[in-house]
Amino acid sequence: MAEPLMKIRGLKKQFRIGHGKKAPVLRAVDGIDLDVYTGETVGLVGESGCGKSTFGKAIINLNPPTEGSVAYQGTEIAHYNTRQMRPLRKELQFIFQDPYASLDPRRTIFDLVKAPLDAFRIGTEQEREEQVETILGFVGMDQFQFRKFPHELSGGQRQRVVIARTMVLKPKFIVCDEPVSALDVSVRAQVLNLMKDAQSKLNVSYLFVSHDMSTVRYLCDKVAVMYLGRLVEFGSRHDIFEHPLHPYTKALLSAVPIPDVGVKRERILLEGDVPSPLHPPAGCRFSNRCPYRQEGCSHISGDLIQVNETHAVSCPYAARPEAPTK
Amino acid sequence: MSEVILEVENLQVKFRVSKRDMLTAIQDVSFRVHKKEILGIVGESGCGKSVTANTILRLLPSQTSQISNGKILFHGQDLVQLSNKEMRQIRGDKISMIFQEPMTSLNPVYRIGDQMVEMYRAKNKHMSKKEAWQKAIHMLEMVDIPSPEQRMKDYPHQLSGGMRQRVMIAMALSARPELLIADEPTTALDVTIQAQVLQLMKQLQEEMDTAILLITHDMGVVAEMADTVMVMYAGEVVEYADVTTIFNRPLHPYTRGLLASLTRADRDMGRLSSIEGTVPPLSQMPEGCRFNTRCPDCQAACKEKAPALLEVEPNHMVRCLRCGKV
Repeated sequence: MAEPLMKIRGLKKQFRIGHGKKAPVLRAVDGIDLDVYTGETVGLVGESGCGKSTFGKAIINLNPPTEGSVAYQGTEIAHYNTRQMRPLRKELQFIFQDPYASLDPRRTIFDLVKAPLDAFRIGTEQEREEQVETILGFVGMDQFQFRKFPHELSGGQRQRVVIARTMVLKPKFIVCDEPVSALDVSVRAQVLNLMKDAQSKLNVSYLFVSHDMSTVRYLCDKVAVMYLGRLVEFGSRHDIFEHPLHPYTKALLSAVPIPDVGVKRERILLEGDVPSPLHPPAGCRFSNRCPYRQEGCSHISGDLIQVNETHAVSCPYAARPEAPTK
Repeated sequence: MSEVILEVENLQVKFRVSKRDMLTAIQDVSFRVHKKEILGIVGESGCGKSVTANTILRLLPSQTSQISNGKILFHGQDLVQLSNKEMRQIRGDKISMIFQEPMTSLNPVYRIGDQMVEMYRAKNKHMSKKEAWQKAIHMLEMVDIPSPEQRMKDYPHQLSGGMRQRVMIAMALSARPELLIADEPTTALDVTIQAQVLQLMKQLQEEMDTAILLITHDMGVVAEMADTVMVMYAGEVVEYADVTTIFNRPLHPYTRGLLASLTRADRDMGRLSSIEGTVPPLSQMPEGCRFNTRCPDCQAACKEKAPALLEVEPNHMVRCLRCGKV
């Protein structure tokens, strides 16, 4: 297989809470390995506070990682400073959840989309304008909307503008942090389709950060499931949705409401809440909520164990085929 | 069917937008809630579902909004005509409400226990503090809060989102109301916590024979919880039927579009269909059918005549000129 576009090894991001030597350290991301290949979409799912957004920001140095390596096209970038990152910024992009917060309210749509081209001095003025028109057309904006301001657009339209602005630089890798969570269902479908179209056109890779299992299933080729700063399972879409192994993945999937009537589903109800990342349980971090916990759980490493070529899980009991999977 | 407890007839609410202008937020909204029934109100943001709910309890500010038409009959008594004082006897006692974000409903500077005791004593001035405290502990037990005696002494910020929503449910159900209005009760929660809270609501509803008006934008939650579903679009009811009919034989093009644009966690799917365009703002509603700007089956007549909500088959109401003829 080809070299991954993004090769992330042992990534950690820690935050010190408060000041002084005794200030506790919050391990938001605590050792994650992940490969993203060209043109694919990797979904990163988990519940709020599990560190998925922190991870997304850390890998493209928006919030530099504390430890670990990030190799982009074979070049180590984890330790890059702002100046070193600058030329890479047009290839490594980020889409935020709230499109309104990412668009300057005082600039028109046209100017907003043109700004990245100006910043990187790409082409002549005329070429830039043509590019902006093409990309705005591609995301489905009409000519008469070009001179509008963000507040005049609906949420879905704003997210299209954000996508246009990201895509105009022809990036290679985009971290999409809950890009459709703030949108209504009917509009969400439009934006998801647009993201798919943009991907097949530009051959860009996405890291799609989301808490919504159903959109992940729609958009992603591979899925990483995160719990309290660590990956608990990684696999192809088929692996994760059809043959989930980790008890947390199973519970997460069974908790998603399905829009069908009269279908009785086996639901795994988890006890309690996610523990504070300041005091994660020893060993397997899911052990205090796991319905199948056993004595050894507090001593396991929590590293991913490869089950087959595409599928890996952190639970040694789930990884072994003879394990009680029920 | 069992006894009707709430009957809303042709409800119309207007909002004041300037000294002279009023905008119609909802119009011609009619529905019934029977004893023990769970009625789901679904629709996208701005469709009027929360306005409907808040109007039932008369929670909208009278300076800026006005119930311009219609009746809200609760056991035959018209809530629109009641004075504020009389309304207070209804709120919390007969009809209570829980909101999306529990943190905004709980006072951050008072302990959970004090807030609950205050509520009991506001309704019943003769109840001793001790008795109210005991009752509150009992209610917290009912909503499965672990070690309720300790939690009573906690401040809201010390509880997790799921726990806070449980406290809200405990408070809302403490007077054993006949109707519980739940406005997006689980939207702010993670899926595994949402599953817990939904199960709790259903279990309490069965124990207490409470009817629930469940407002949500999540079709999965509706499919799971509701007996009857009312679909709203741009301030109007567009379809109203039992949950099986809505999901298996939807007639209104909006309902169909909405269901077709859902991503699903339980199966892979081809390209999502989506509803073109966006909801028009209230001030720019089209002539005729309000959905005509986005409807795939729109015809000339749809742009002239506003359709009425018609019963196209027993207990299946649809607001569409074309569906009425079926």
